[in-house]
Amino acid sequence: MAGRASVFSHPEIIRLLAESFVPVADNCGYTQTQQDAKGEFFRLVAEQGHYGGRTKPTATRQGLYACTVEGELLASINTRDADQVLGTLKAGLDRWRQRPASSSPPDIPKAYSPDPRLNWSYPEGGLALKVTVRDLPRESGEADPRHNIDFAWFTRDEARSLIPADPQPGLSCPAPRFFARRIARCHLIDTVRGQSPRWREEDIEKADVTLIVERVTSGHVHLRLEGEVKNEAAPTFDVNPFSERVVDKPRGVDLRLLGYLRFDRQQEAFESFDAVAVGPRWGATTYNARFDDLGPAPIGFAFEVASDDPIDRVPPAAIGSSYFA
Amino acid sequence: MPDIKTDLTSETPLNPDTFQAFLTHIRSRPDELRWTGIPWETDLWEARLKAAAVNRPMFIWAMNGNPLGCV
Repeated sequence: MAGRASVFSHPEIIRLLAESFVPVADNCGYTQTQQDAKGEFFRLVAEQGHYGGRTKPTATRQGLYACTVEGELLASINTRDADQVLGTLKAGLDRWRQRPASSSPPDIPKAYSPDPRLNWSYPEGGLALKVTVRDLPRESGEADPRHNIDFAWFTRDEARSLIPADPQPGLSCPAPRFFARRIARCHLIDTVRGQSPRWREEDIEKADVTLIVERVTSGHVHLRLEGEVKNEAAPTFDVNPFSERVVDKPRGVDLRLLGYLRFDRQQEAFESFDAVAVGPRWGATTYNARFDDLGPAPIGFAFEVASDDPIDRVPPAAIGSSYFA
Repeated sequence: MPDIKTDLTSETPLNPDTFQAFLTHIRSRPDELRWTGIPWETDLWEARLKAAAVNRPMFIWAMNGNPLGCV
């Protein structure tokens, strides 16, 4: 996520991408291996690029690629240095302009048969939350700017089930189990500095979330959300292939939740879902870059209704066969 | 990296009075959202079709994890 700040906030890079390219964000954790036309196209491009053929320290093909729609690589790099990225973009554009003009447009099929392992879809009419995670101030006063984002999905039926059938002010109900467990297992994860696995079911020591009806009008139900989540897990002893060290340690979070939600009764949808989870985190995982900051130290998570913009419709990091379980 | 400005301290408790300060601290600040000004496509195949239609090169930001989400 550091690239968002160091590279894609650079005015000249923003301008070049908007005016001269079709920019796309891709989770190559899938496209590197997915068995369909999209995966084949990504691999065609990536194998010509900076990590082509590489298997150690990993087989990742992460990076930045300028290419043609036929799959010809124009330029590539993997860096968070904006000047280097700018140079790569300009080199790619130079190569693009030097290509001979094509007499006919490329024949690209509009549809293809997608890899069935990747068959999730956006919960239309349901609830999509944007989740931001960031360290909270330390005793030293340090307030680190690093943060990360993710999305939490709930189906239409799941979202409606958060509202009591007969909401009356003062009514207090435990949130449905699926809601508390999904938030705890898939979204209260220390990813401030990098990816980290979701919690396993057995790591969840406590996931208590209560919804209290604060106010009811003809148009809206106003709810307060309160809760506690405690997760704890033993290390996996996986070796970080870049450092060749076992950097993961016992990890955990011990969080208090508070939030204020507004449900539109006519639209049957949440207008707002403002909630936070705060408390100590500790430990590290193979890729979350906490090996030098094992804590305990304070962390915070903030939830809000995601916009309908395409960039807010990307799947949760933990999406998979058991996400909606 | 420079520290960010915040109304919180390490002693601030979470309660209804401090709730908004926690939200403000954790959520992205406007200057942290400049990258969203890029017209990102979210599907590689759709981007390929669009690039063919407008006769432009593609730019792929590929990460393990969605670059627009948790990476």
